[in-house]
Amino acid sequence: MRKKLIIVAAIGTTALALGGCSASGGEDPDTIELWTSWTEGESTAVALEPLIEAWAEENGYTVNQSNFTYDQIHEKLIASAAGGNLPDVVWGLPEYVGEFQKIGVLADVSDAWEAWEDASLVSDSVKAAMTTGGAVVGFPYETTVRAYLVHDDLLAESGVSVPETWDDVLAVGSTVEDATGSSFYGLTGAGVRQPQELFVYLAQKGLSIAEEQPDGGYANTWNDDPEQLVKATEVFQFYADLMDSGAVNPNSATYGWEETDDNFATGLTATFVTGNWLGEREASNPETMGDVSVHAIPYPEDGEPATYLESKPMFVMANSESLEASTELAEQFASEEWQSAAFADRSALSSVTTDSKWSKGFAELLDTGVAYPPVSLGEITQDMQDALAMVLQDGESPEAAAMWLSDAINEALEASGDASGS
Amino acid sequence: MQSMRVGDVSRTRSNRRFTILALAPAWLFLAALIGYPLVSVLTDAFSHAHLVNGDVGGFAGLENFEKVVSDPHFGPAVRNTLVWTVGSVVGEFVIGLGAAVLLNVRVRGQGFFRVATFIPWLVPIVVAGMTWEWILNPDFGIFNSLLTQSGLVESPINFLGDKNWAMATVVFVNIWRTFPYYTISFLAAMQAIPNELYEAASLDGAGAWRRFWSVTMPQLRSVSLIIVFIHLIWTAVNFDFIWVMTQGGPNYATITLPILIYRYSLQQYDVGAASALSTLMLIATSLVFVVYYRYRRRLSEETVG
Repeated sequence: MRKKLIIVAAIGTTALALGGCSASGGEDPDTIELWTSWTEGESTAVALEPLIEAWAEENGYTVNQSNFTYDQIHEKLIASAAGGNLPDVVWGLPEYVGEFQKIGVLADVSDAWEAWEDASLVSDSVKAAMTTGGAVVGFPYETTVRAYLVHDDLLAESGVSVPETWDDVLAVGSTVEDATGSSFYGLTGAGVRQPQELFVYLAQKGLSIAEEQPDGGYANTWNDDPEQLVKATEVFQFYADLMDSGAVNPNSATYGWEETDDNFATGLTATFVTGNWLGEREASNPETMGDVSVHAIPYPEDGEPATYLESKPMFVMANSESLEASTELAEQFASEEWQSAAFADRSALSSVTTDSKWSKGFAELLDTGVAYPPVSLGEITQDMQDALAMVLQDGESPEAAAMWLSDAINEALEASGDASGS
Repeated sequence: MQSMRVGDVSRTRSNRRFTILALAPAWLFLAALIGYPLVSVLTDAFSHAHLVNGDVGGFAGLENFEKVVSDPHFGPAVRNTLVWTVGSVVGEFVIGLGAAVLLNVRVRGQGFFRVATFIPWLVPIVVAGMTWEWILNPDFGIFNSLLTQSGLVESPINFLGDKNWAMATVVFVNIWRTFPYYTISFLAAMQAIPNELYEAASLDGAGAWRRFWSVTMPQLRSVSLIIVFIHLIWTAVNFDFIWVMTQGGPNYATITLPILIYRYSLQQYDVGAASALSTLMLIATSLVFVVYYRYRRRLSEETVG
């Protein structure tokens, strides 16, 4: 009797223990695992939750929605892909397109895109941001560009007009700080925002971090073309000059988006290149955010206007047990109804817009938007941060940083299998 | 010598079977949760394994180890890991011991002081890290505000953004959060020291300082050994504290081996290199454990006499 009891206990405990390790979700065709990254309780979440619930009820599905930060989504997806236990529908970032496509977890939703009634309302540049290897892999649930935000009162107090070119910015130098105590030009030296900023300044010089080659692979060609290397050097020189001119807070060299956004919202920085999410700070910082105007990002006189196009894709996972329904749900996020309800001021649909500066002022810059190439960016964006640190923290020459970054990008492309000839 | 009876043999076998059966679920659980990942890491360390590049594969021999050791960030990461680990553990030990000595003194409000001392240890690492980030911020942090207003410094110090300050700062914050653990352990051990030992020492003319070194410290040897060695391993493999505060920056000034492993696996997607470095760390921490085990045994032998 005691033996039997022991055996039953052992089997039960083992089953419980191993049951705790079992996979969850993604395997029931009537259940859709949805990963989002909204701020709990904020307007986006409040608008979307009932819409998701109504859609699930109408279509006879259960939608299990889990909320994470974008960093967590990225890491969990990588881990889940390795473990073969993926969700069905995921909020993504444009940076993920290349690497998740290479891992082979993204569903090709090209047919659904072609049949999508709102597809004609989406610009070619946004569709291109959803496309890799000829396949559409996402629906744009949130689209915005970066703009140059200005605290008009601080500039008026300093007698400074809104700069349009790099030279204009450098000419202001420390004038604003001397007059108001706030630093003039915001700059992000570290974290995920830094490569996005650097990417824009490079684009304004007509440069790309990786260009598609005839064989479909990618390469950075700065070190092969003296003219491109000169331009890349000028971009890093601009950063160095910004520091030397007194236009930026020297601590910016190590600041990420948290500090830079906060400093602009609280008026510690007079002007800054950022996204229209700063509009939310009008509620939390009403006394300092009332004087903000929206402008194009200053560009070099021998260059062209450009801004970072951040069109976020709603991914569907290729191994989803409910592929059709998951695709339909992803499409719903990009639909006119859902966009109007939750993303009215940051929609890829030309029909969805508001009269606020946070929508119109940014939408006017869409034509100059540039997006990352569809390659694995994890190491490349780190290399971009390291290259800028060489200039701003180690005092190395802009040319050395440009040359090093070109080589580092090509090494990263080689390692990820994105390089030309791979 | 008396031979075992048949009944004894069968009882022994039965007991052994019972023991194996009772332990089987735990063994299976450990095999699934620890054994399998460990074997995977060891296998990947000697393989070409890449999360994104499907063309990569096969036996790598020692290539991953060569890649890791020749990485320009490896040397600084080893040095930073040692500074981070030794600096933290020494600081935690000294401050934890000091706090325990003070809290062991009978004074009014003793309970309040004990609770107050333990608060940092109750704060989650992420919250502690982010709070200190705000406190130390050079633009609006209260600490820099105090420093500049008091005239101690001319301009704010970017504690987490200046290469000269960053490592010392993260070590300080780690000490601040962890020393209460030492305090709790030492306090418990101190309260178990028989008062007769102090009385005998006093009768022999020993002052407070002498009593501390000749009575208290020897009695704390056992608990010190355990918490110091445990914390050496815990701190060396800690990832989240530095990640939350500096992500290994500014410009790699606080990069440690666990952060380098993270960069290999989740930035470069090079599972082979990440596994190779993990294996090296496993060997290093195992050596620390072997040293601890030897000390522990020697101490036990001394105690038993």
